[in-house]
Amino acid sequence: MNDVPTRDEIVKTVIDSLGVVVPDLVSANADTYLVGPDAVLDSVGFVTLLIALEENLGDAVDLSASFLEQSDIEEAADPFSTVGSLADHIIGLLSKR
Amino acid sequence: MSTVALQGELLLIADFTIAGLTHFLNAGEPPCLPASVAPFDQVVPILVDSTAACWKSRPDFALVWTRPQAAIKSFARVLDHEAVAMEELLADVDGFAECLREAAKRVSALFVPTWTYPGYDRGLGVLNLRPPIGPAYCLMRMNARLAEAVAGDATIRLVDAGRWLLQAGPGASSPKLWHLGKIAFGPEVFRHAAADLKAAVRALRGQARKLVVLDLDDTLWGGTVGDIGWPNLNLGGHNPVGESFSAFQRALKRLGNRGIVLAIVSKNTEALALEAIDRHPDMVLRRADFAGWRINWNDKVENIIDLTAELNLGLNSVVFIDDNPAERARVREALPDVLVPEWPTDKLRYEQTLAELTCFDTFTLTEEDHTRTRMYVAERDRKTARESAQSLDAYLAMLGLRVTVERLSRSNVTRVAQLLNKTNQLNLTTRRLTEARYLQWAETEGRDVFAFRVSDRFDDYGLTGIASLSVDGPVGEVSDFLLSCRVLGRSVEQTMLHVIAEYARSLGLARLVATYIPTERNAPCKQFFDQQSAFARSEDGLRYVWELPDPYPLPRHVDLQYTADAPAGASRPPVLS
Repeated sequence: MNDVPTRDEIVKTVIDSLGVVVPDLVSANADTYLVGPDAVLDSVGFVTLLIALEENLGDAVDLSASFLEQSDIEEAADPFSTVGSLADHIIGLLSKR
Repeated sequence: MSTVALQGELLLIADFTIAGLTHFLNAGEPPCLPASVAPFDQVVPILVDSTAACWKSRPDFALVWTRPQAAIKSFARVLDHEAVAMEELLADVDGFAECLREAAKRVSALFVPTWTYPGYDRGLGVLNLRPPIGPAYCLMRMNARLAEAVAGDATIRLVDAGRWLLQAGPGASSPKLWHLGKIAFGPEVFRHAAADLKAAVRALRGQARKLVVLDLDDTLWGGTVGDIGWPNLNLGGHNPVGESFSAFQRALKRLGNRGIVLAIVSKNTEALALEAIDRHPDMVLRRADFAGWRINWNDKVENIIDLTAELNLGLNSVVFIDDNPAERARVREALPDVLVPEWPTDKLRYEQTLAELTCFDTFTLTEEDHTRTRMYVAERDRKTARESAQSLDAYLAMLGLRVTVERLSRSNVTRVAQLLNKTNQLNLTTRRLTEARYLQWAETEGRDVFAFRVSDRFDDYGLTGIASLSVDGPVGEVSDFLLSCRVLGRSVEQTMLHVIAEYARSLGLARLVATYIPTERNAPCKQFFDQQSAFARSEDGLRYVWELPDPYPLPRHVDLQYTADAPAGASRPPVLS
């Protein structure tokens, strides 16, 4: 089994990808919102972020498929809502490989 | 006065989701371009309908970015491997070009990325470029046809989207992006697109860099000439580093051929450095390729200031290239207007680093651009002549200055618009207008535009001055009065005043009025008008009035000529001897 990166490493990867998609974003951290009224990017940017993240993670996870599933079941704790929750979700997906 | 601000909004019109581009237009190199996005996938209706809501904000620029299979329906059939006649494809392209020309009437510039399709699509493989069935072949013909169809429109520019995709690599496009968000391109493509669009807008605003100031040792050649002598410099030959210096020099020479002036600022012994430039067999750049140099042991900051003053250029025209990070830091800190690009330590990357700079883009290229360095070299000869002349009057008489006046026309409008948008110092109103807008302005009755060509015994400066007049009853308002800094101080400016004053007198006008609009850089223009004792000045010192019964004399050492069609208007001004 491959080593799963640490949470800090994944948070950094998400923030790096966010910078690629939204270059005019001033700053971001684990609490930065990705969806919802306080989000730093719109739905188009969010989709682009997911694809950019998939590329950055070497296609090890299918985030877009995971997102489509999550949207269907409307989980109470949305794993895509912030940089931190998305990092946790990615770690979960990587652990299941 | 009618003025078009070239700093407004960019309207994005596309048949895919293009909102992601707006972030890149807001970030990175200046200027930030505020953008609005037209309704999704409504390209042709928006292009042809001037009343569409997205035009209401009167954007200055528009970007029309389409996918070929969506914009040209017959091409969609080519992708389905149906037989489509080339004539049908090209007719569809012509129809699309007509829509672009219609939309171009509403903006100062309309940018159209070339058509591409995803790199992962292999099409017909080895048959992809085979006429007439190959999709890649058809796409090449379509792009070429589109370029030709809009070439006559001064407002439309095709931009090379193929290069953006190549630069972006595998992430340039993704079926996932398309299916999830109808996003045709990845963020890297948008990054490169934004860089090119910003460069084009800077060009339109006359903010392109015009002068490259170069260091010598380990910048133009390998090694220190003062230590090892010119025969031992690493340049050309059969090693990768020597060849890379030659390639870098060739790239600089190409810049010179498109109107970017080269100069040297180097800490060296001048005689040794010039000997290397003159004698090394692999030097691509010779003395005649440089408009000037400061090769000495002085501070480079002082040398750059001195050299740009000699060349009559502003510091914001300058790019400084030096391999030494300490020198770069010093110039960057002392002269923030000078662009100092980070320079690689790897000499094999010099040519690439130069080619990647976006600061030299111009909206047009004219005959004057190709000969600009030659003009500066002639200026050096002129300066030598001046130093040996006994008086300024004797020098001016010796120059044999000839000024030729012509009217604004479609044949000279490209150069006129370029001059209008680049000239800063002797410029009364600093209007910035595109070719199309300036022609449109000049076509109104009561307006005349005079263009001035200047030559002397040393060189032909080309078209270097513009003066325009708007007649309102008995008053002639000078709308534009501008002259390239290359010919300042040789009585050309007085000759221009003579021409418009005589023309106004021939129309029977009572007075001539000139209103100075101050900018950060046009104080020399105010100084010139202040020196004209015949003008009465308003209290605020910005408005000059001249009662016209008095003639304005032609400087006696100027040979003034009029072309057959110059100037437009009721009568032709007399030629004074």
